[in-house]
Amino acid sequence: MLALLGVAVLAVYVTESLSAEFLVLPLILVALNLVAALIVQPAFRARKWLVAFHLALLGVILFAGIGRLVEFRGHVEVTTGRAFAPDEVVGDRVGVLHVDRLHEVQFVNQGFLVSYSPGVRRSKTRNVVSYSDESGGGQTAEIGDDEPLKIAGYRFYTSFNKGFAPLLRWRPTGADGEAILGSVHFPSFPAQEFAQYMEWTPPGQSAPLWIGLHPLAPIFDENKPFVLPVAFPHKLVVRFGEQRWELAPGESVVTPLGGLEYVEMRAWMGYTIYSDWALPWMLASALLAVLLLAVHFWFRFSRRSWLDEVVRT
Amino acid sequence: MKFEVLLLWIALLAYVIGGVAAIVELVLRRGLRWVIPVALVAGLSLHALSLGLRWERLGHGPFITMFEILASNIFSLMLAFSIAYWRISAIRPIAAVVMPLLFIMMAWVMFVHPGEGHFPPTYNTTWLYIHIGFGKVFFGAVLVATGLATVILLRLSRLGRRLFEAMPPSPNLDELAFRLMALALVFDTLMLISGAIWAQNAWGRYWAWDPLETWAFLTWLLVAFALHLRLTLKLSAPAGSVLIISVFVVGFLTFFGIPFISMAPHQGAV
Repeated sequence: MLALLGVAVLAVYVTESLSAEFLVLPLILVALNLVAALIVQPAFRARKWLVAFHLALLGVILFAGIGRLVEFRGHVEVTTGRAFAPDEVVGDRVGVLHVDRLHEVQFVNQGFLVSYSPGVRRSKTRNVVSYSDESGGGQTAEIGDDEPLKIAGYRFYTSFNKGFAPLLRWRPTGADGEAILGSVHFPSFPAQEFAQYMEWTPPGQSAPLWIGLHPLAPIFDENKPFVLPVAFPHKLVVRFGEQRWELAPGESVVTPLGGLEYVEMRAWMGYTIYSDWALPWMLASALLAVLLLAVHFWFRFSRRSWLDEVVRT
Repeated sequence: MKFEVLLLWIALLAYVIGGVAAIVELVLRRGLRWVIPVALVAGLSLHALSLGLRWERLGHGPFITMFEILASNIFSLMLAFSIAYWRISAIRPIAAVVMPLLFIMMAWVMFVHPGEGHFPPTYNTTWLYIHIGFGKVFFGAVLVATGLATVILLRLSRLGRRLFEAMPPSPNLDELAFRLMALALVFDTLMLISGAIWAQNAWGRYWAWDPLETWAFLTWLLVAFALHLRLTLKLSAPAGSVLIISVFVVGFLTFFGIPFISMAPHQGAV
């Protein structure tokens, strides 16, 4: 059964068409084989520490399986100074038994700093977030790299994915409605340094505006350490058809679709989101398993020296 | 050449002298046994100094580049073997087998550029040290077990029996190798658990089947498989030895082959 599991792991590894779910069947067979061994082999049952180890190992498999049913994996982008919006979360993998509590999550991305070493090598990420704890009290925390924000059963991890986010105020032409304040997220920076533009369809419109970043000076020197996001002289280029405008922060323009004010440049952070309540239980089972295995071997080997006459048991 | 690299070359030279002395002592019995512990202590001392100087200069441990991975593993494996050599006097002749095994890594490290690499921010965690520490104990145990397994197999020939006649009988060596594999399984399991904790904190997932994770799991399965076969089929010492050597080969590929082809210990994750 272990060999079968090994072959299945190898098959998943070398075959792109097979996903990790392919391992479920051999894992179930390993579990059934273990249960059968417990039932039909009295000698195995007599080794209580070894039996307990295998049961703990079954617990690992069980909680890993439960985890796949209840887990949530997703991602979201949040502009600095703005609150997390559950509606903007993209679920990458959602277990069929996952209970959605994202609407209970409240936090504001208060700003982040990502350090780079010469050669554009990413170093530390520090992201300050303010959030409401379970009692409703306001809290502030610095997260980043190995430290996620833990809130309402979810973990929010900063990621390498972040970039510039111009804050815009949109006023539809001829409409009586209020101006709408929001931000658009340029592609990830510096990964897509030379693709800092996008098409943006204003609220209530069907045609898009083209918006691009026009730096007036280099944003960073790749041969020196630098920190992102950074203030730099720039213009925001707006295009609609043949028309073209350049806006500095605070400037406005009236396009055929409506009025657009470029308020200021901000940044956005991409967070990966993870939730799996079975994870601590799986860890506990794994730690218990290794402890029981060590105890089993200790009692087995401490009975006599390896130099004594060897008797296979 | 940096002083730390010079120290490393001298340490490797000491290991080679020790290994050659072990072989000469085994084959010709020229009274060179005393050279082995002296070479080991001298080599380990200079090697530790070399690693320490590099650590101090770069501000991080030897975990990033292939040069660092090889250099630190030569040290940890040599240390593991030295402890076995010191504590279990009956198996000292395996120095003639184990030390030449490490010559492969020593030759390899001499052809790898000793330049520094970028220390990823996610490596700045205590779990890195715990994870790697468990891994080093695991592979150290497998190395000594492999030395014993090789002796058992060599003893199938008349020459092997003559060369290793001073060592305990093969069933006893097999029993010790089995115990070392049991120790290896415990520490391999701990390595996987601590690695999963680190991965969860660093990348938001405890397991992603990246090449190193996949091969580490395959190695774990093979160790478990070897122990199960030995117990359930009551394998002979030579058959058990073949399994132990296969664990060493797969473990070696996992520890050094995968980082070699993927450029970073956990490619894509840093």
